[in-house]
Amino acid sequence: MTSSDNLYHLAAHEASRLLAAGEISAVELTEAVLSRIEAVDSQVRGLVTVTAEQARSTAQEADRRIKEGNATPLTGIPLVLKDNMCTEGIATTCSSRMLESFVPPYTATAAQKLLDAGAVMVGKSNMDEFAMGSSTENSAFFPTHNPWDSGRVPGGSSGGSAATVAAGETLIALGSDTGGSIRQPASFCGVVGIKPTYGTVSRYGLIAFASSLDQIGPLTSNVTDAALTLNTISGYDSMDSTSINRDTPDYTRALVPDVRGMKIGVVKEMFGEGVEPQVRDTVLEAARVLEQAGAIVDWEVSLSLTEYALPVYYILAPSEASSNLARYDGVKYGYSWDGAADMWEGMERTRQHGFGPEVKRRILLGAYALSSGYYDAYYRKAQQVRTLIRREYEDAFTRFDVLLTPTSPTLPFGLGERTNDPLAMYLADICTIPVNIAGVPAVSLPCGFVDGLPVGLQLIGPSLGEESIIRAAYTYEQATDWHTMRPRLGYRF
Amino acid sequence: MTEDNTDTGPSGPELVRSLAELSRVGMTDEEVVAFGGQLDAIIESVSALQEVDTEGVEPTGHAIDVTNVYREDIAREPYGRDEMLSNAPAAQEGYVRVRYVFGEDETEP
Repeated sequence: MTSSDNLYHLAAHEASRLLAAGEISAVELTEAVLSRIEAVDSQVRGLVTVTAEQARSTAQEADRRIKEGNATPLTGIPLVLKDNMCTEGIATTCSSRMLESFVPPYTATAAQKLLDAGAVMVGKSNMDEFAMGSSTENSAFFPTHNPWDSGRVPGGSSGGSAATVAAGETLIALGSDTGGSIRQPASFCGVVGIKPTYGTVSRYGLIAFASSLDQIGPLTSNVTDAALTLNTISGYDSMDSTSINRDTPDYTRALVPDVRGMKIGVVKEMFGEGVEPQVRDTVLEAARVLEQAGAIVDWEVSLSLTEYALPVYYILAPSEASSNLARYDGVKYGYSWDGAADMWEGMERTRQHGFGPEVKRRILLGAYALSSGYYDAYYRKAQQVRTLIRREYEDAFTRFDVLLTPTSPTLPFGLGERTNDPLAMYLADICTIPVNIAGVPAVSLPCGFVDGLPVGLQLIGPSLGEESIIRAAYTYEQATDWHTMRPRLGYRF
Repeated sequence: MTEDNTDTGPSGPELVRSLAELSRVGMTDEEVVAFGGQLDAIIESVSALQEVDTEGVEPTGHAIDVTNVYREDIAREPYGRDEMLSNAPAAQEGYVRVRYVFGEDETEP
């Protein structure tokens, strides 16, 4: 469990420095990562598609660009995209039978921005089908394994992105976060993940799950790389109707190891029942590190509506999903069931065989919450409680710069442990879901290990307050060395 | 559980059958039974929201204050027809091919 000199475990900003200095080439770096994928992905199973050939030619272009002197900090840096982001000419499956053969005619804005910056895509990562899940076990293809313990889940739904970063199969990755899908796998895999303020990163080309909550963000091995990646993917996009139109700040300016005078609130509701004692203690210890660095910590902040965020989410997200997924009818693209006598049978059989159980459950639940007679009691009610939760966060941020919680209430759980109990699986996200409901940004970063398994610290900021959480996260990271830990993988060969 | 006006409708397998029909998702009998129990449990758990006083509270659709965004009415190059049809399960003469809407031998739906 020590830092490695191997190129594939370099921080992206460190690799960028070596590339600029001519000490390594993008081709060398890409080959190192592709060999690493070859060596360990049979164990991790983080990737649905490996784009080796394209990566090699992109890496050559990157080397030319570096030589010409017009490189960006991400030129030549290996990248993995969650497989719900459209990539022109490359299969984009959402880890679903429904989209197994789908080859998009265009590339998602966030992905395109990274490619334009010269990042080298090496593959597309496994996920819970249509991003619905917290363990990546809902993938229609195969489960991904936690690089720290192959008998445990990597979290989800961006489990493949988090696991490949942890395993050195890429230097940076993108995930998407609707209720914790970037932060919870970041926590389980011991990496950094940011869910930006809703509207910061374009959703154009991100296959829709729950449109009012979905947000793309980075997964990286350290806070600096997350800030660099966020710099590249943020910004207004006319193709996304909820994109915020403003000048994007330079998030790397927030990489300052100083929290003196910063007001941090420890949210007591997220340290209570259901939170494993060792997780609680580890995260509280992280708060003490920030206090020692000069932050003013209030240890008893109450967000009284916390318990209602989960029910709000499990009404709103399935409602939006049932509407968004109505498009999969086996006619225009995607899987289509053969042999139906008429249109209705074709549609029903296509959706029966194209979707897995969790997706079906959420479609049914959404149809229920939206159906006449139940709409006011469920959907409208949930939207009203969402208003109250937003207000509670707005109010808290008049008193605090950053709120502090565990990312996940538990350590990574075992493969298969929760697959038969949807409600138990949903509880994995109790600390992350309120953030999406409020629409605010949050980061998860490693803050220790229990029995060899990583624990994640969540720092939540006010709307458009990415700089505050990056600054606090960076300060913590500089004071500790958890981000230098690497899982022992590949030694069994 | 709190009292509300929503617990009078169908539940369990019966509810699943009607929702599956509404959503056009085919289901096996085993799925109907399994989902029935799970859906009942989930609905019971989310019904906790009925405890919250929301009198006079405006609903939130999404978290940022952006509504009705329009773009300039400028024509753009669309994707090509062949490109669009390349993902279609069945296409013919430049069109997506669909199945019979009313069934091969029927005149009434």
